[in-house]
Amino acid sequence: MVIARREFRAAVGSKAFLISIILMPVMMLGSIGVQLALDKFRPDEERTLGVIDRTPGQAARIAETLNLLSAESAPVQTDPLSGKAEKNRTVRIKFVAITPSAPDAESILKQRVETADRVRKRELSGFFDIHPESLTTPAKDAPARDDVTYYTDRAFDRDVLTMASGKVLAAVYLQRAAKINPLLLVKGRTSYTPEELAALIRETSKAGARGLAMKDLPHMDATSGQLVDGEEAKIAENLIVPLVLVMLMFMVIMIGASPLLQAVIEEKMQRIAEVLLGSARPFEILMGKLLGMTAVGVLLALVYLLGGAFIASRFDAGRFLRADLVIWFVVFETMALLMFGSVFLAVGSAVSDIKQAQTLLTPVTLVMTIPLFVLMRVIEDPSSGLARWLSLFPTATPMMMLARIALQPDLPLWEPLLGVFLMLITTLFVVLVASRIFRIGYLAQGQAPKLKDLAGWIIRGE
Amino acid sequence: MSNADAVVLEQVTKRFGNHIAVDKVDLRVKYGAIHGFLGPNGSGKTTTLRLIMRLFAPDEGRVEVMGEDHGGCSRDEVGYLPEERGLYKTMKVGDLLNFLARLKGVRQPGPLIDEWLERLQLSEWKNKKVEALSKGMAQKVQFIGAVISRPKLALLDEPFSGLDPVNALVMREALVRLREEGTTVILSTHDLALAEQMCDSFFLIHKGKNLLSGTWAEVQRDHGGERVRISFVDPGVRPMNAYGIASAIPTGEAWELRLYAGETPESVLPGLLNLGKIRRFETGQSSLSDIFLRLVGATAGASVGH
Repeated sequence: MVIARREFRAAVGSKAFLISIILMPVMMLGSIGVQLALDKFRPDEERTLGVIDRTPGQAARIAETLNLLSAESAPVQTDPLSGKAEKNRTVRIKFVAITPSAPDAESILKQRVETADRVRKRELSGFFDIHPESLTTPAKDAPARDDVTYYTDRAFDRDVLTMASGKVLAAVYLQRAAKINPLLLVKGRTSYTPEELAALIRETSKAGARGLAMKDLPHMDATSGQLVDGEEAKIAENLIVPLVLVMLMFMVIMIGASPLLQAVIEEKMQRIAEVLLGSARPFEILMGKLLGMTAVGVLLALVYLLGGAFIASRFDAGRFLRADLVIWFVVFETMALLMFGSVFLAVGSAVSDIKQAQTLLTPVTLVMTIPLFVLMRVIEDPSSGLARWLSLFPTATPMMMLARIALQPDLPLWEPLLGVFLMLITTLFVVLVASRIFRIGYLAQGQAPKLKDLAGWIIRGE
Repeated sequence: MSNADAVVLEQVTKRFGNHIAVDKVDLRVKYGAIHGFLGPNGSGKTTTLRLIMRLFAPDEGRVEVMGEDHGGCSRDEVGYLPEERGLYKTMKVGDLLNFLARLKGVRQPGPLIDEWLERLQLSEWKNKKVEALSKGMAQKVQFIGAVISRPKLALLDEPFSGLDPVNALVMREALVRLREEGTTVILSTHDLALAEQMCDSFFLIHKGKNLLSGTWAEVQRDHGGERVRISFVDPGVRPMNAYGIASAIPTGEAWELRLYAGETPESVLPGLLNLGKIRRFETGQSSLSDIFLRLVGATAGASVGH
């Protein structure tokens, strides 16, 4: 009990504990706040969606219908906490009719590829392709078809999924319903019996037809020159792969970089630091530790990546992990380990035990985890302004840019190269600052330096 | 730049906040010598060694090591044994020495490691982890790590601390051999008798200031004097008030007497005879310990004369 009392008093009385009490809820609330703020301050946007209505004799009618339904989110809603009315973000969905091509398969595919290029150029956010037989309930043994196919490179765009898809389907099904039982749509009729609606729904949604299918963009194969239709939107590629890669990167940084902190503190405590300084300059020691740790981190990442790819290939899922993704992962992982590793080294050299380090580490950890808070937003729209800016912000570049590359195989090369360049400059600067702190802190003992002391170490080198 | 001197300090000052650790110190250490750094705890010995090692930069003055100042001398040419012992506890002795040797640029350290382990009677511990070693053995391992690269200059901070007499002798023989092989050695120690026997020259620092420096002959000439050691038949006799006695320090059953300037053993003997029957009366030159105590001040247990 004597020991327990001592430990309790020592922990509770420490500055680190008091700071943690305040900082932990701040961090947790802050993460929620970041999400809410990102939601709240998202700018008003317009989504332009193409509609290719291939139903015979219905040219432009469904598109015309949809245009009359230009969708907006509620301009004003009530804040559930305060009860006050506040303006919400406005998203306007605009449907653009695209005259359907000739009904042969080749022309259809060609038109889809051309329209997909308009999506890549951001003239459209995506396009709906309505099957020519979508107004007819499929026969019992007819081959499966997709009534409506939505082509996009943003499979998780919530605005389109929640606001547009339903309207498109409704426009198609109501037309089908009118064909099945025109009397249902008699003007002036105000209600339908449950039996009538049930029968109608049964007829309109017979097995053999799916409602909305989502596919990625058709393209021309670079090797063969052949036109290739879009495939089913890959949840794995569009969600799991970027998610796993980002989490893996974060995990490797934490596993690789944070032990440096402990190791430096131990070397100081066990007086090994002075022995090493007798044989190498502080910068040489810092770089040696950094490079060693980076190699460990990269090895760890490769083990997980290649192991995962091997297992995925056993389940015919190996194509999800592209070779260029692995290369970019290694590049960004290496630079992230150098950048964050040097910070951990600097913090470790400035303190004498882990408790002292906590105060200095909290803002570092926060900076490292910010990309995780906004990851889903980037997955939803990897070419949005937010995603682009974050992917070029050096501390977020490794995770954000990697997610964008995973989601957009045709991302222009200059964007990741610019990210690498900005990270390189930042990493060099961070290593330089860290080496100044390390040079003085590595041999220092006693109380942890205050922030102004650290500033003096960095600026004056003493 | 002096080619005869391995280390030159000129008016070197080092401050830590308001505390002046080293205060306008001048020092010259010749090549090929064993130079003793002496001083009480907190006097500035370790700071001076760290300045020579370029772990700190001086606030004022100039530090020149083997002809290079501004840190130009390669760390590979200087072996350093810090005051605080620090080794990777979970490493094996052989692996640790291999690591330290390679840090110093030794390409094939294997034979050197074996040679030194044998020299310091540690061969059977080569494959044991450092944590299994006693304090004295770990110290010898760290010493090997500091000198395995045959440095031109070896800075050893308290190399004998914690060593039993047998290991102290082993270490002493190793240092002498280092000198014979051409290494200049600077060692700090509290063992003044050992320093007096081993060192070619001395440097005494106290409260950051240089109190004495030079060879033993020069130190004796400048600070030495007659020394009287006396013991009485009656152990209760106190000689401090006798004629000509500046101070008297008890050493076991005897007294170490310091004489006033101008007095000799012959001139003070009559006064001592008046105190009681003398069992033993020795005269000689001041030892290094005598000089150290005189310059630094008596420690607890010494009596002070008028």
